[in-house]
Amino acid sequence: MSDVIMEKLGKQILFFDGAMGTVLQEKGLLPGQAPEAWNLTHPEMIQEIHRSYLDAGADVVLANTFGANPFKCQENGMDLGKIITAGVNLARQAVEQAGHGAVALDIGPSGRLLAPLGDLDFEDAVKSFSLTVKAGAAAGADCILIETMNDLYEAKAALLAASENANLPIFVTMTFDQDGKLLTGGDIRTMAAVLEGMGADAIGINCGLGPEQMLHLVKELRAATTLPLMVSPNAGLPKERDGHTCFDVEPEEFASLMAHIIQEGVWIAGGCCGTTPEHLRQTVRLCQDLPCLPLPQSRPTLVTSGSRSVELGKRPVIIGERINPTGKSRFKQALREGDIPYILREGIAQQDAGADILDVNVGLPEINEQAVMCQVLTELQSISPLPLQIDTSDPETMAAAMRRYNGKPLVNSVTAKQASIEAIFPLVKKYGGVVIGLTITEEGIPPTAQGRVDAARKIIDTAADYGIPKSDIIIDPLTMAVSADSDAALVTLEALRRIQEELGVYTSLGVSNVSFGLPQREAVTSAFFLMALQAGLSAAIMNPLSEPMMRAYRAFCALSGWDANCMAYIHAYSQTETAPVPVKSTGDNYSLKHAIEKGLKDAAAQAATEGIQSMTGLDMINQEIVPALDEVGKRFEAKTLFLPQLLMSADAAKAAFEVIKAHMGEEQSEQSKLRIVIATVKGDVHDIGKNIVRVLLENYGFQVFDLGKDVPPEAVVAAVKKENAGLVGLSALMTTTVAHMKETIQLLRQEMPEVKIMVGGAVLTQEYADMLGADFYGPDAMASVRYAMKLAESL
Amino acid sequence: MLDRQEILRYLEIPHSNSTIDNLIDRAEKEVLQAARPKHTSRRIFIRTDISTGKTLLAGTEITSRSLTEHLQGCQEGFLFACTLGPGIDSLVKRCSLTEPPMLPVIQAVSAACTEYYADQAQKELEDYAAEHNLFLRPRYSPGYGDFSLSCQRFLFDALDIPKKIGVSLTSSFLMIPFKSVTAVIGLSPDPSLCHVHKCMTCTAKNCPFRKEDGKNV
Repeated sequence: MSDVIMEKLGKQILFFDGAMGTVLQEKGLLPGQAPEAWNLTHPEMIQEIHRSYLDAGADVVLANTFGANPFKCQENGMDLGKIITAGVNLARQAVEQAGHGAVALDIGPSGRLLAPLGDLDFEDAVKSFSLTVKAGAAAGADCILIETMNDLYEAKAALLAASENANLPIFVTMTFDQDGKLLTGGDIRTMAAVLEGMGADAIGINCGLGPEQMLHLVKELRAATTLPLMVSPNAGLPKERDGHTCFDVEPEEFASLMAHIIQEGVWIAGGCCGTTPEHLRQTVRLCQDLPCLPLPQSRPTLVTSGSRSVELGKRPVIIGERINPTGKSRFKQALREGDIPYILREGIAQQDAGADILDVNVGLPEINEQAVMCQVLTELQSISPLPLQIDTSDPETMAAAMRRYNGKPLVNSVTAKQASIEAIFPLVKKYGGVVIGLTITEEGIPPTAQGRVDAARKIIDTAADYGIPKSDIIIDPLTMAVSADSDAALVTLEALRRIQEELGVYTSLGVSNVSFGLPQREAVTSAFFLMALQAGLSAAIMNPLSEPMMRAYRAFCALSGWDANCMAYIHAYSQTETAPVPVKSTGDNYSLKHAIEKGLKDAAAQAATEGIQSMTGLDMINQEIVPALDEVGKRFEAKTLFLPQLLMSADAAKAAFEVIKAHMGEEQSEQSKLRIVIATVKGDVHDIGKNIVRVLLENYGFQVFDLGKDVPPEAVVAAVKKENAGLVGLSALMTTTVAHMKETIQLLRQEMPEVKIMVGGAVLTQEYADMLGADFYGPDAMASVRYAMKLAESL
Repeated sequence: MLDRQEILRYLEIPHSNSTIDNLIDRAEKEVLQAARPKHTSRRIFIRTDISTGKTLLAGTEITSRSLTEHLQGCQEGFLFACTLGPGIDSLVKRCSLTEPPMLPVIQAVSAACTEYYADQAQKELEDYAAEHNLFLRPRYSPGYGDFSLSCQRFLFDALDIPKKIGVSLTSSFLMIPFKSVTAVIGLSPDPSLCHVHKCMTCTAKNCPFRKEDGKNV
């Protein structure tokens, strides 16, 4: 039967049915009740609705399984398997009675938000959708419709589950607002790039809007994908009448608007909330003979995050290269110590400096690259909307990272070597991605432009065999050091020009290699960068924090028509009369102590830099930093200075510490012997208070292991053991999660009776803390520091 | 447009200074830029039984003495939800990495922004009330008094909150994005019962933010 669907697709307009939920509400389903429960309690009614849509001309009816997922079934005391089997069977029986039609397994959102924003792990989401898919496929569904998705990451999880657990056509439709945005912020082009990349059979838009509001969104979607489109609008925008939600686009008007939509190049039409069999009947009558317009031959090359996309072939794209340990000892140290915040700050700095995409490379022999890569990608995506480039030479790390990544990544990289092709192309085919092809063959890097063009051609041709279109490939003809071969830059530039002209693909270069071995490298690198841009370079992997590079880039964009009215250039440089100089502190003559008390970070760093010439690091800590922090702490306790200022001082002290650390070397830098584990307890996702406590403790010299939020008791105990911690700080905001705090404390007492426990959070009081058996209750962040200091003294 | 006094109160700062003012100005800009507010509501029928402490909301029975007292005299009302969207969560996270001193300020400003937006969004409900000579009771949310946080599930299903405004519920009934509000709002024919300040309906008597007649206690 699934063959019938795919066979008809593109030859005739395919009609899906209309609303189920709103029809059931009219028949007495109460607000908040699960519509799927009626598969078992009111089977005849469900079957009758299917039948009425089939009679109205539906080619496909959706089984009543929209909300049938493990979470909702558990909440409502329903058996997932039974609900889905009954749902598919009822639709199948209706199809048999009608003598025509096919059955779609209908999959809606889980109702849970995926981590890192929410508390549902990506793989758990895939697992839960897999249960639904397996049950639906076993019951005999003909195709799968994943619909009303408003989070692209969740849509990815559902699509993966569907493709891994069934061999059925998969259609995916998502819900946008009138501005073409998902509730999670994603846009239409981003959605199209991700879902097409992952191999959906058709994609589209449903719910949220009426057909009129969807029309311009459909046009945008048509331009973004080569896939067949599916559109299922509501019967207008929802209106409230007498406590009921109504939709007021009548069947005739709906049908005529659907005709307009189909004429934009849509092959599959249906209805969502508020539509009725009559809406469908009229639509079928008016639209069934409309032609299926041919699909576009090409699509834009888009690299995306979960919320935005970057298009290649327009303004040249900057790929920030700083998240990479090569040649950076501080970065290596961060990787070894699991200092993810350091890595994230590198990302934010590049974003603020103008990067369009961030390269992520965490390859270091002594760490678990796969785990760290996945962690960094997830964390980075929770704070930055920029698309990411996954940069690893380990295929397993690449597979895990591409699977978990939210969006369509840039994949760095594949070569023209067979082993590389066999490792990377299947991943690109399965998870979707734009892949960078390096012109390296089994023999190495071809010395001539011709050799590199040939290598590029091999990559592109082989990709086509895997079903990967040219639009998903970017070729990097490789930058070589001009100091080793004076023709190196010219060969690269010639290859660049020819690859674009002859092969019709976009290009990228890691530009800084060109100056390797030369003095004043940035002068050479930025000149080469300009030459490459002039030769048509589409993307550069570079350091966006390098001012010479960014000046060259901004000037090029202004001169090449990529910067309307030179606004970006003006915005970057209008504040600086001449060449920008590194930012110096505005606070002349501040002593270190004064700078910290005033909370002036730059001034503190400057004072420390100057002070270190005449004082030892330890003296500076003991005579300036500690007294300043002490003074600020006292003022905070006396309420003459407030939390933001206390944190500003702590931040300033940290800046000074870093200067001193760099001078003293690791082993001498003074760090307290007291090691502290902190966590927001299980069930609680509010962690601002805990984060403030962490910042303060760190800046008072304690070594803090922050386990994050929603941390199970066992994880706290494990961390205390592993880090040999003397103090545990637990935070909870809600009364409901205090129970988990108690559980955590009990487990700690059992397993680690010697460790001290302090607690804090909005709902806690001294009385409460005593009841929970904590050693200390911190009414504010400073109190926790004082307690830790007291404990540290006794060590 | 946001209530400066309220922001300072959240920050537990009795009197501001120029440093704090600058931080708040900056936080306001960032929060307003990151916010993508959404709201949804639905009119429902309400029946209260004060003797049993049970309330029927759109046919679903909720056991909560404090909610029942709060809604006493209401025959109808609204279920209401709003959010500032996920951008604020991301902003807070970013801020904890790049500029910790801004954390409490962003937190306070986004709390004030949530209140402001909820009040704005509620205006359309006020219009309905005015048309029908009715008055809105203050918003009453799961977690207040003995109105159990687990009743979030009912509000989420009845309002279809994840689909309508993109807020989801964790397994411990907390909302994400975290700057979100759900509430039951009673419609009462008697205005005298509607002037109780929000705080006075809460049983957390020791709360430092508790206001009586619009003043801090």
